[in-house]
Amino acid sequence: MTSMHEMSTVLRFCNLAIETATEQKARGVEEIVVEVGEMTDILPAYLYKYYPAATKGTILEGSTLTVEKVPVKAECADCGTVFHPDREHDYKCPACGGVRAHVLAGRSVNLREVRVIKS
Amino acid sequence: MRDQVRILEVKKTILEDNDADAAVLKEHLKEEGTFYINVMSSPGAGKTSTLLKVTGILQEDLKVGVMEADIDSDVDAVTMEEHGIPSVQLHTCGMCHLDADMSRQGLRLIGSQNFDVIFLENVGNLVCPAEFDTGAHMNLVILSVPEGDDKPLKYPLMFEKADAVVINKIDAAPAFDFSLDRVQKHIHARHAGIPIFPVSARTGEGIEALAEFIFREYISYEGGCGK
Repeated sequence: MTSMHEMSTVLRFCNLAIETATEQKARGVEEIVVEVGEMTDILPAYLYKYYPAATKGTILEGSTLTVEKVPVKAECADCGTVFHPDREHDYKCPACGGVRAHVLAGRSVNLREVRVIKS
Repeated sequence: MRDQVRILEVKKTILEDNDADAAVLKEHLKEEGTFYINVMSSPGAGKTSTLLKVTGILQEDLKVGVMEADIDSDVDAVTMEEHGIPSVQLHTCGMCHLDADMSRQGLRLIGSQNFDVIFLENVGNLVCPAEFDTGAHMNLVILSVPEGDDKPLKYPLMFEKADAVVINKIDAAPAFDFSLDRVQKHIHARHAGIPIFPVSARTGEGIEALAEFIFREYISYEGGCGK
């Protein structure tokens, strides 16, 4: 199950990167940087594994993929504390014990930057 | 001239496209007055059998259709058709979830404008479908007794995205160490206050309450559509 999920993720950020590089009329791409939230069930190891196959024949071929993990950040809806939900606190707010929180970061996969080669 | 490397800040989430597609779809369905429900659960929790029972009741007042999404096969759509429920089978071709675009194709195939309520029976999986907005107006999650009452702890996102949770196979509870109190506590820790319906698709217990809830949600949705 995991591998199929990661492949779809790789294709999505590759398409975004190809769009960006094409818009900029780049000659090639040196590196792309992708942020992966802790809450996404995405394993970076699989992203690295599929990257060469997903980029073959595109402007991204031969470029380096860098994956950075983004920790989960939540804001308590009761007291406003910003915290990192963890099992130790049963994912509750460590300040007031509230269970209602908005996730501020760590839920998405983002294409952060594309290092393009221009001649 | 020497090659220059330029760093382009993109900062785009990879699901931006999907989220945008889903928002468009939601609006489109609103114009049609069609209420779209995304049903998610692990494989074997009883999505098909629960939908058969609920749809049987809803069909007395509403035009109901079912979209079956599976990696392969059409057994679920055949089952629906055998019970006189209009349905289409969607194949995700190996993918572990349905995205907004596949969802749109399915709605076109079934002819969403001809229905009051459409259920999407998503791929059996408690992980991936939670991450992809299908454009549905309601996310219904089914958890069955044999899976255990700790599942909301193991698959938090699924229960956060849920607007209502069905606890199926409640007739089997005596055979398992399953506590309704515990599961309710775990579900509400993920999404406070959402309704929980203990049912048995086999005996029919609790099905009427679930159908009534969906009917009421449809009525309030329809009221907001100006149909």
